[in-house]
Amino acid sequence: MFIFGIVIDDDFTRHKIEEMYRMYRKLLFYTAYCILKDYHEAEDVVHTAIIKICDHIDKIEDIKCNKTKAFLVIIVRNIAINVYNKKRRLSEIHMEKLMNLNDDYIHPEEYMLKIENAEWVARKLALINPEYADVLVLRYTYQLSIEEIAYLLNTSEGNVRVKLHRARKALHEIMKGEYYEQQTPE
Amino acid sequence: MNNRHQNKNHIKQKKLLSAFYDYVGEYHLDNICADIDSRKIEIDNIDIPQSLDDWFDRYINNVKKKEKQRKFIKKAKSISSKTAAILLVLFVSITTLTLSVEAFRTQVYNLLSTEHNEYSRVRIRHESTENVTIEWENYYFPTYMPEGFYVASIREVEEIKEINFINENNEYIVFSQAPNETDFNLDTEDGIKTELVINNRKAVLTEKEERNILFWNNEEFSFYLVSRLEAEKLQIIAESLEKK
Repeated sequence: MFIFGIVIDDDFTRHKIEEMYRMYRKLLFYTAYCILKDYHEAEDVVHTAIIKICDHIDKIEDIKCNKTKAFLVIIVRNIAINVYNKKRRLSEIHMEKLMNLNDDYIHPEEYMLKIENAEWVARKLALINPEYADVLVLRYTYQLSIEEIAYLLNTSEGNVRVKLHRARKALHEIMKGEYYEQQTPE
Repeated sequence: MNNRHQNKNHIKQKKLLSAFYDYVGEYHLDNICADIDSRKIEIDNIDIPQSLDDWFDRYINNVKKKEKQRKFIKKAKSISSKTAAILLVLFVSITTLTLSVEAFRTQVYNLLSTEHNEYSRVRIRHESTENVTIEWENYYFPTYMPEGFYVASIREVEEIKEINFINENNEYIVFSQAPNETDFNLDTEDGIKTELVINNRKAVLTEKEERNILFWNNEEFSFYLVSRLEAEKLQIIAESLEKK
């Protein structure tokens, strides 16, 4: 889905933006509304997301694929969560307990041994905090830079780094010992 | 050596972890899509505010406008560079033409002389080859002129005014005037000098190389005439001066 440094004809880009909006406008609005429960705020979030996505439209190759759909949801969801947190005067990072995670070393090979449970791990990570899973995806699956992620999610680079760090810690915690052993599905 | 080995291992492990994060990420995306699919009915039934579509239409129109502006600027830049090239070619062509054609050469000479004035104090205000109109003020002009002579050109160098007359046979009369005490540089060396009287004032006639140079003055101006015509004719011309 993502291609870098490609030169796209201007008319083509505009048509792509229009196609993306017409196809996903309900999904984007629904995603924002589910978090904010406010029509105006949800609308503002969609505006912001569209503008930011359009600035990176050259990286979207295929509008109709699932990866694009999920990407758009991640952007809107995270912008909406930021708005929600600000409204409730909450810190954007509120899973403080994760900061005190045990830093016991797990050899990366051990991660690979448990790779067959990646689907469950992903779900678990999203349960701990969907933002962590989202930022991890943007960084490692979509291969975006910290700067690009910060721009798309309408937040600071520092915030992205903290979330990324905590996402890795959370994953580490999931993969580690007892918690993992007890909850691994059959 | 040990450090290098450790670094290498660290890089390998980092790659492995990145691959694992990517793999987990792929599942996270699948989970998101599955979640979206499970809410399809809700999503399809949600009412989108009309203002959202209106905003998007405005936004896309702005994008179009900016696109047009960008294209226009790009085109203008391209045209301006071409125009500059054409102007350069024109300038070079005109310069070549000017320097190679006699008719233009006189004009360029005048132009250069005028610019040179800043340094040499030589000022040439006007020079032409036909239909000369004299626009000076406070100058003398001969009321008598032998038949067939006309004003071919005039020039003004500082306070010296010079009128050149010619006829069809290319015979010439140069009449020059300047306020008294102005220095004239006339080549009269080794010429035959004769004293004459012009309007009750002493005049000097010099004959040199078949040319007659008549020099005289009045209360305010000094004059000279240069020509191959007979001295008598120059004397008549000198006596016919009238102030304009």
